[in-house]
Amino acid sequence: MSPVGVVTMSPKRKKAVSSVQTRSGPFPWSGTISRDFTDAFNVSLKAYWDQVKKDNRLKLIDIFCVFLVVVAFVQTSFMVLIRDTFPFNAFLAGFIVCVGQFVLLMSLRLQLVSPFDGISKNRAFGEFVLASLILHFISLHFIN
Amino acid sequence: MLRNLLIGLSVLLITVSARCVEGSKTLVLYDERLTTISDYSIMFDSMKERDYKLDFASVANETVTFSLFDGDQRLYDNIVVFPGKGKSLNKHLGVKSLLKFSKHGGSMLTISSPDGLADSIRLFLNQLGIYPSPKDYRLTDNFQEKSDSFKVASSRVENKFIYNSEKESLVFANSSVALLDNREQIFPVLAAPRTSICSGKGDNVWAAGSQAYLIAAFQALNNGRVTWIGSTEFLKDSNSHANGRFVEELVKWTFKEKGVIKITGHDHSHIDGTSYEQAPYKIKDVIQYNIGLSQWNGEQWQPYDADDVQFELKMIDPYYRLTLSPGKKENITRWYTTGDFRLPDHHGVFTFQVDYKRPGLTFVSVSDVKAIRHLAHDEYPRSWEITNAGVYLSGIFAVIFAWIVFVIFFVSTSKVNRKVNVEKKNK
Repeated sequence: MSPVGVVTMSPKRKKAVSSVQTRSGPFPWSGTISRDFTDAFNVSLKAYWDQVKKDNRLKLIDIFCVFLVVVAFVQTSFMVLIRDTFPFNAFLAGFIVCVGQFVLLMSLRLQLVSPFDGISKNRAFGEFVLASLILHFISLHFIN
Repeated sequence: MLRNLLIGLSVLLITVSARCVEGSKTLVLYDERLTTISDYSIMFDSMKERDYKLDFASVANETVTFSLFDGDQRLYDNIVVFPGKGKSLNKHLGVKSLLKFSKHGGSMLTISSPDGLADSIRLFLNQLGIYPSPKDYRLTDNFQEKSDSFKVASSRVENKFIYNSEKESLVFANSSVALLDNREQIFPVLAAPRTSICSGKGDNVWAAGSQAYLIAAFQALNNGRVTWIGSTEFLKDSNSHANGRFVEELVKWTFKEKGVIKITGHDHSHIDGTSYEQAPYKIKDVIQYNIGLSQWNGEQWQPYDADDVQFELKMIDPYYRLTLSPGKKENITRWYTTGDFRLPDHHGVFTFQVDYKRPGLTFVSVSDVKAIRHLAHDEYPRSWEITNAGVYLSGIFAVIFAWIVFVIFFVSTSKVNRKVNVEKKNK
């Protein structure tokens, strides 16, 4: 399942297309496309695990991101469940703090993987902490 | 001392000013060629007994001058107009002066007959929306014993405030009818029988059945009343055994001896009694509104009882229309209250209004314009006071707590990672 494998797929697909008349399915090439997709998915998954394995901090960031998605989902489904947006400012505060934290984490992650020119990883982390504190402060005031 | 004197004086005034709320100075206009006043002695005697001051004036003689007004001052409170033979009633009594009289709150009892109705009266009635039949058009009912003199059951009187009796039968003869506009100020009193027709010479039918009216009443927004009766025979002494009571009540109503109500007071406040001036209303405040109503019974004011008094809280549209429930009773006043009700969740300038207009009663209306303010920024409930906000609050605190844990781990693991990296590089 290396990238090389993907390259070797293409001649196979050509064969499949040439034998359209003989095959009876409505989408004769669908099998190959899903196989392509599965391959691509597996490749990227593997690349991801490789990346995470190198740096525990990335793993930590990703876990936090998943947690944020869960918290945001819980709040939204609560709002849908009670069929009432009141108190809407509280919902906005709760939801936006998740989104904002997610964005901040993503920018931190970007800089950890490939630092921007002239900005060290430590400085990136400092900025992340400062921005997060401001975000929490604003959220708490918004929910009042 | 002075107070006692004033009270004594006002008692005196009340006894002097008789039964009509607004005054009993009455002008009776008649045409001596058509009408003999002595034919109506029972009606006029009964009015005199009730302290009416009657002036009789014949309009037949054009040289007689009389006037309804002294400048803008009404000289009479009431007018009774009998049919006139001539085209115009009198050169001093045009439509304009009759309209002015009505605009100044005067009351009129107009009687027409097939023998004649002066143009000025007809035009005046047409302006109100009452259209009497033309000259020489008579109402006949061939289903009754005598086709030109017929009986109408008093239970057919349509306005119970004017007359309320089930058993009598009223006698009409030589009668004209009127068609009525569909107007809220017009109160139809008595419709012609279903089997009757109003026709002129040569079977010219002008109106048929109960589309035409024998008696109609009109009350302007200033509570000036006009009653129209289609037959002079109806009022005559010879018919008073049948019609007497109804005629008396009709005269009483027309000249405001009955069917008169007034508002004695109105107020609104917070339920703890704090007035608007002390604490202006804000949205969703609980308040109550009270109004007191009195009715004139012919001699004095007394509490007015009804179950259809409604209060409106309006800002262009009514936000509330509440039927008031009767409350405490004072001397002459019955108080009505909304009970406690919550102001709408909408700020703005609202009108607190009772607009009580019922056919047969004087129109009363009172309104008070007050602003309802919105909540100040510190009057909204805080999130921790709202149960549902708990979910979102705990969401935020979960994120903050997780963030602190994250930072701690991040700082501590970063060193480990560096070692790992260093080790890897060393390898």
